[in-house]
Amino acid sequence: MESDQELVRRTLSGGNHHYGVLIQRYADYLFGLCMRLTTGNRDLSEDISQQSFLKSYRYLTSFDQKKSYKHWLTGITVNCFKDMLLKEQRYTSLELVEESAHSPDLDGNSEFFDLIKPLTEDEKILFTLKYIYEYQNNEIAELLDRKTGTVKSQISRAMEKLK
Amino acid sequence: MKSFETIIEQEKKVNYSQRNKQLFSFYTLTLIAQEQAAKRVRRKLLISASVLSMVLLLVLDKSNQLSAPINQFLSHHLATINPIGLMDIALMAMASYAMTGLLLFMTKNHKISRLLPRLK
Repeated sequence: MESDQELVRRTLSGGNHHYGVLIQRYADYLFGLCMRLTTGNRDLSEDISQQSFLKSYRYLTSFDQKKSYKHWLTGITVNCFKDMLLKEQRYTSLELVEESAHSPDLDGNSEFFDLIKPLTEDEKILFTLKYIYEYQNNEIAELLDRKTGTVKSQISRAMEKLK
Repeated sequence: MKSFETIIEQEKKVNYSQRNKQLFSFYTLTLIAQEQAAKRVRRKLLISASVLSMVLLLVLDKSNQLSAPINQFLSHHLATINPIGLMDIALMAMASYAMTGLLLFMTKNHKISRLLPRLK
């Protein structure tokens, strides 16, 4: 099996089909992450994971091949999720009108979604990365471009909310 | 009620999977190809526009030199033509308006259509 770095290198040298292998490799991982962040919205999760792959391809030249592609992709996905939230906020007034006609296709472990319900979207990201994907505080800090101390205190604040 | 740790452990075991991974991959690659094609077209348009503007600038610059004798000739001959007075312009305008009015009148009364067979 080819490594992620090798596939990235081959994609950059003009072989788009190699990127297809990367997509297939991480499609479920990203989809799972998005499902957890969107608390089970399947359509939105598919949209965000697709946007993440597109963005990842667009900025593939800036990817540091010494680092993990999976971590880099996770950072991109979190940013895409945040962008989507901003977009959603922008159109909230419009959506409220049609709220009754639209109900998202929710799926997955409802107990977990209920558990993280009291958290803000940002706290959901931190909590999911820390407790489901077992990222270290410093790794999360690197992904989200924050200080490790800030991440640590934000996670403990989220935990306080859940107690 | 389940404990926090149990819910987390349960969630870790859940495997979320795309409805159709092959189709998802294919569609994403198609979007990438589309984006690349659009970028290529934009780049080509930008190059063409810059080349065209450079050529135009060159042509305009050269045309000034090429048209110098013509300009000289025209300015010489125009200077010899008698200056047209305001009265002449007013007369010409009146004549053209009169002609237009007459034609409109004839069209309304179908006189032109009657003239047509005779023209044949």
